[in-house]
Amino acid sequence: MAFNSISFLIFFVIVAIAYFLLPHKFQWMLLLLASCFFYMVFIPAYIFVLFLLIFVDYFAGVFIAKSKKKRRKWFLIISILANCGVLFSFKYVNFFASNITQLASFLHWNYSLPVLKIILPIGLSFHTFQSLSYVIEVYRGNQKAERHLGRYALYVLFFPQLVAGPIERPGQLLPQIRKKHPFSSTQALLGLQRMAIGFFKKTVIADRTALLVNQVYNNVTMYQGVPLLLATIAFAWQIYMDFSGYTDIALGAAQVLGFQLMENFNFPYSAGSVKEFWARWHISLSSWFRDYVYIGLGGNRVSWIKHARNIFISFLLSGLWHGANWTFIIWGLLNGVYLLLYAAVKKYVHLQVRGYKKIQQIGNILLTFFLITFSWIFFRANTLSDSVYVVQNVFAGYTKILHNLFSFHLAQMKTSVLPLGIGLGLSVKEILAVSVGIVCIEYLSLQYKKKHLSGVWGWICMLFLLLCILNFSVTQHIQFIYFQF
Amino acid sequence: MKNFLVTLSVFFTMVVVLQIGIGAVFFSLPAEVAKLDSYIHDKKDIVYFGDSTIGHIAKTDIETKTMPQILQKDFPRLHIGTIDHPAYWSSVYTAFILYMKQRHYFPAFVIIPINLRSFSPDWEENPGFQFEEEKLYAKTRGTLLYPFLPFLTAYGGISLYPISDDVFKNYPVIANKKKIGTIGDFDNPSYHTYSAEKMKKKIQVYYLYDLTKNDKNLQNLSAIADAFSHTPTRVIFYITPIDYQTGERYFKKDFLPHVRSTVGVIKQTLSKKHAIVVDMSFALPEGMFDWKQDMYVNEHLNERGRNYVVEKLAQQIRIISP
Repeated sequence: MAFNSISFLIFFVIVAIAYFLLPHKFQWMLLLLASCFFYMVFIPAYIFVLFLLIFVDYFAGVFIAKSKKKRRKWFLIISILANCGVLFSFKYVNFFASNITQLASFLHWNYSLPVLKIILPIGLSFHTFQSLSYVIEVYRGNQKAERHLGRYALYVLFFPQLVAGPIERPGQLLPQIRKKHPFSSTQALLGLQRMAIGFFKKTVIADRTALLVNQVYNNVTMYQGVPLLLATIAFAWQIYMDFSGYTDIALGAAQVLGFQLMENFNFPYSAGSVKEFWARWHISLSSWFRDYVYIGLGGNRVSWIKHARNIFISFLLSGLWHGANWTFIIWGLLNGVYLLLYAAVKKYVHLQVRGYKKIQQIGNILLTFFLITFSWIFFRANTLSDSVYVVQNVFAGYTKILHNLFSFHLAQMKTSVLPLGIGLGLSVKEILAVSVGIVCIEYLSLQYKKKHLSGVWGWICMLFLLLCILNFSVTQHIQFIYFQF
Repeated sequence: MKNFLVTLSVFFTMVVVLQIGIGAVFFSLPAEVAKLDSYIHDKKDIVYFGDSTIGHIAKTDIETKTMPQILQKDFPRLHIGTIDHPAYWSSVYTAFILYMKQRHYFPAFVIIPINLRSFSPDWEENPGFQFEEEKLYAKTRGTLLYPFLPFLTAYGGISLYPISDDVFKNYPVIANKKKIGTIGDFDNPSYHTYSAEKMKKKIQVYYLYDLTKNDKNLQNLSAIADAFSHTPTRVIFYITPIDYQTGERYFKKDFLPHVRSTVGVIKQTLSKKHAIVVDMSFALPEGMFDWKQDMYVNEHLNERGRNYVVEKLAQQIRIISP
């Protein structure tokens, strides 16, 4: 069940009302049943995959807590193998099979592996990591094993964050599942406001941007220069609005029910370095890789070569986590390269521009945005050859534009700058509505951080956002980007 | 909780009321629905519906008038309004006609072309040929659903794209009561390269389908005939000419009898509704068609072809109201 659907809105209202009408001891059951229903709307049979992993991890946690040294490790290994095995089977087996087949063909071996027709269970990558987080924390002694199977199942299945995160830590979510959540009108209104912000970001901004991005990136070889550049920059905003919009809906829905989920974004494009960007973007995933892969390998408390290795492994896995495609792997590794370069030149760059702090800050933000946007080329491109094409052609044709500009051939300039002929559907009223909507979001977000309701202006902003959603949502039903992971 | 629910109810009521106002004042209708509104306002005498065949002009034409424009010349005292768009077919015409009926608009004549290719699954099931937006706006205008259409379509309550590309490509193609493949098998030939084999496949899927009485296109045409049955409006259906000579060249003696049988089913169905049907399916030689630049056969006509069709329509109009 997609968040941006009438069926989810109806589902959520029913669940929320029933939740607060029920006594506390039955509330977790309702949420668990609702979460199962929510998940089964996609492909019902896949709930059994989830149940299998829940059982494995629940018992792994219990046995780790009961056992001594060596045996504890075995239960951890079993849990990791089970989770990663399921993830590999559904998500990566075809990727590896096709690459082995290609390699065999390259070596002139008569060998091929079959490609299976598998549909990826929705949210598999997310709940797998959430489950692994639990077992690892129990193993490390940071988390008591959850003895209540139903509550543990709810930790994995909790519907607001089941499909695309945030990837919660057991120490944050499990206590909340046990806690009583009396109805709070403040929390409910703040949650609803947050959901409205999320729907606006998704269906008004992100989906509108997607029209341009999809037109170009689904037919890259038809374009050169400015259209590729525009579409790439547009994608940087599309993915941010899409994913942060999803997160707003998830956090808002949880808040209505009395739960606080972790923040997943913190103005990532205001980052002054790639390192800072990754502390602000998809925080739940980047912190997961930091805590369980990067630090586990030694982090930066090792030799420089091992530090580089740790960064590359973390970002390789991060790229692979996003998708079974070389484009995601290259995207991940490229970010790893950025981080290494940043670590290497950090001191030198700081010394050079010490006297010009503000200019340096702006320069750093722009440079970071450029680097991240460049890496998005690989994230968005449908194939490796498409990404190579974009990289080779994104800066093509500018000498012609400059020539036309200096020769005052404005008509030609318009043709060469805007050859797309695309219909973004941006009338004056739409541009106005989106602009005012963004101001409303900023105002409501500031009030949200103060955790209090924002009075008359808050209601006016909510009203405006809802009217924008009703009138300016893109009529093509576009799935959330991160649902595919 | 009670205060919260009351506050929320008041707030959402405000949203709904404001949205109804916005829908009434600010919504832009799809172009053809807006056009139909203007015809209703102007009380046009003839509404001529159609697909690309009625507006196509060949590059070699000296006379560049469309069919409605030629017809207008023949009847200067009657005002003709055109509702046409490439790939329009009976499912769209039905929605527009019901829209006209709801507004008690009964022109003297309504002209409906019946394109034989539009019965092919390649057309009927084509995701790009459904025009759900126009149909939706025409059906819901004036109802409480209308102001919420953008929201309902964006949030999956109503789908503007009821047929997916996958469903379309896998749709079975039946000929002589046998499944001869799926649309994907026939639709694959790229328009950028020509081959005799590809042309044969195109003709087969376009014209050599099995037409049954349950076909949705036929049912739509019946509904159109029914809509005006006890009204002053006379509906003139006409079966658009097809390049049968090209069809015969590829399928020899198998082509004409099959297509005649299809035409027979259409005429039989509409005759039960006492509808006027002008059959021009085999009226024109290939020299009056203009599809060669499109590489594969279609029903576009040059000026001679257009003049012929309009002449036949004009004759029919004169028979009905001398």
